Amino acid sequence: MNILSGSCRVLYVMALLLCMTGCATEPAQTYSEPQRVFPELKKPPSDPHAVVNVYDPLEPFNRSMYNFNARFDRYVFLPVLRGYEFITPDIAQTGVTNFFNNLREVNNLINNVLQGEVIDSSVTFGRFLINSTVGVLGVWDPATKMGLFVREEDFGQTLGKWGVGSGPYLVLPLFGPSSVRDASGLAFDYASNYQVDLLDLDDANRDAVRFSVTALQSIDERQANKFRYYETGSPFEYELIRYMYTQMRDIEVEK
Amino acid sequence: MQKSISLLLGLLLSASAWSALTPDNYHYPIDDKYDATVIGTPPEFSAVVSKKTPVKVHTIKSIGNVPDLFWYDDGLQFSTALQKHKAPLVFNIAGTGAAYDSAKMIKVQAILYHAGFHVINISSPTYLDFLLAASTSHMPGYAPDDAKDIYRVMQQAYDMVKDNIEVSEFHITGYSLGALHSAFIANIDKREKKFNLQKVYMINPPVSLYNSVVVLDRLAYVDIPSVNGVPQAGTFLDHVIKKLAKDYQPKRGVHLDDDFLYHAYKENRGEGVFSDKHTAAGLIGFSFRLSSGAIVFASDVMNNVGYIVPKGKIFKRNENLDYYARASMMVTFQEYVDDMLIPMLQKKYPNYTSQDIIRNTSLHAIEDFMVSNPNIHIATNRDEVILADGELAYMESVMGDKITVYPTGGHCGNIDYTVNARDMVAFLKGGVAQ
Repeated sequence: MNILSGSCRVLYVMALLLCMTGCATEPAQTYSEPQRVFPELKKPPSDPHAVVNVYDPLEPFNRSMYNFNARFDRYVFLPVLRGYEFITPDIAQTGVTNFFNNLREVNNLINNVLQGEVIDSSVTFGRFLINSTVGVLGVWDPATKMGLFVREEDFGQTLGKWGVGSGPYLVLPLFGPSSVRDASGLAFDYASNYQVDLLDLDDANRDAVRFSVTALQSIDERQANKFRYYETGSPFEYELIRYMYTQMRDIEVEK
Repeated sequence: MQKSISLLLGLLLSASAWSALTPDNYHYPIDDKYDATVIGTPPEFSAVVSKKTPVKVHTIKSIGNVPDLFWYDDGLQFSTALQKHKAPLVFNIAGTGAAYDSAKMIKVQAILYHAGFHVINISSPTYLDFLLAASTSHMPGYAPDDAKDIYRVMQQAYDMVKDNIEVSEFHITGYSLGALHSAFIANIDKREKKFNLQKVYMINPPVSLYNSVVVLDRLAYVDIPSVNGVPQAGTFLDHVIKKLAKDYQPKRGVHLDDDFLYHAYKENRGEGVFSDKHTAAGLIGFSFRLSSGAIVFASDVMNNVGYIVPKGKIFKRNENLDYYARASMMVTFQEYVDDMLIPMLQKKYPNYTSQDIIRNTSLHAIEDFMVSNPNIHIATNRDEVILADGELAYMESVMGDKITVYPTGGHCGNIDYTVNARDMVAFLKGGVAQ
């Protein structure tokens, strides 16, 4: 029950944000025609797979959110990440990464089970057991050295496997490119992580600890992601990223 | 006996010919020129070592203000990899549409740094960041002027780091368009002597920018199927991406990285996506069009040309750009040169015909300098993709023994192959010819 209310809350906040941006429309200004005009390009593309042909009815909201994320990344996230990299020895950073990857095995396991992947579920379970014990609470990753590679799955992919379409493209605050389906998946994964509570943070009043753990986890995830906003060299980065995200998720779901 | 002696003699006699590079003694692993261009050098053949390179990124202030649409541009970035001891410094100039931190730039930087050089990587004037923040015309493509911009940026970049390093001498290198720029820059430096550049190493340069543009423009049209004159790039890409994902089921734990394309290529020869001759060529055409589209749109906005963007139009930060993304892909680079660049240049230099302008942005314009300078060297490939007919022969005749032509590698595919890297380092390390 708690799980559902968790994801509902996220959806509610998103709906609120959509209303706020959707209402801002301005009258179009008129200009003289430029030298080259391509009338056929003002219509929806005939090419069903055209790069710009991603279903994006929430586009105004998404664009502002994309730019918000880019600014947040530049002025907050990356400076914090650089500070973290500066004060933390490489080996400790690897330990942190392994530790959070190990926590994430809970989600990998749930979703492999939900998708009926017997082998992947066993491997994930095996990884979790080995890394949590021999790997000292997941700080080391001996399972990979033994040939048990990570089987990443999330609830967005599970929904995709179950036949749920991706729905509109959606840029989430801080999380970045997603879709309505994948955003719900993300909410589910967070909620289930919260429920399982591996770190036993629920016990006492440990909000401060929970906050610090989440902050460290975010920094670790940002480090793993090599993407930097507005360094693609294209003024059409929004369109390119939207296309690439959609393609990538299609492939991941199919796998 | 007689027979074996004559065989031995034959071998000895032909030994001089054998010392030239042939497919038999040059083992770059990809035969097809387009495949090589796309896939590059697989890690096991690459000279790039896994040792860490101490790369630092710096920012040079923009030369002017940019419209709100380009709010994200906050100056020109470049990177350095500096030695702790006295060493020669190499300026490394990127190719068309490429940044200081593009894959090839990082590889060359790593190779040179670990060979003992200070290295400063500089983005191409055709890269969006440079176009917005450091190009005086905001309309790149004219090598003599672009070279002046890069030369100025080189001085700014060096000023920012010179207090921390000891430099014995300066060299310059670059690949593709960056190679052409290197020669123009060295020519400027011969007069201005800001660095007294010693050696110029040009990797896969075009002879004429215009001719190469025509060659590359065609790839997007010929190798990507069109409907009503609109290349169906999306369908083409979708096919390639899905086929790659299907062809190549990575072993669990293998990720989408530099290795990925080569494995997909190697394991599915004959039936994989690269067995279709149009795949690699189409990808080159598409990525070129992507770069040129960025230039068309950005220089149109920056100069208020009214080419695909209405004159006077002010974009808001979050404005929908879907139409311009598509329209800019429809404009060929050749059209950009003819319709935007040449008219702008003719306003600036009223005496120039369009033929003058095209010639000025080719090696022909600096042929005397190329011939007379003993410290300039070209590295290119027999199967180079971007040259027009006769251009390789032209370079060979002009350069004499100052050119190395590798048998394979396409356009820059072999840039970090061990043999190429060794030759580059040897040339830059060798003494200066008088």
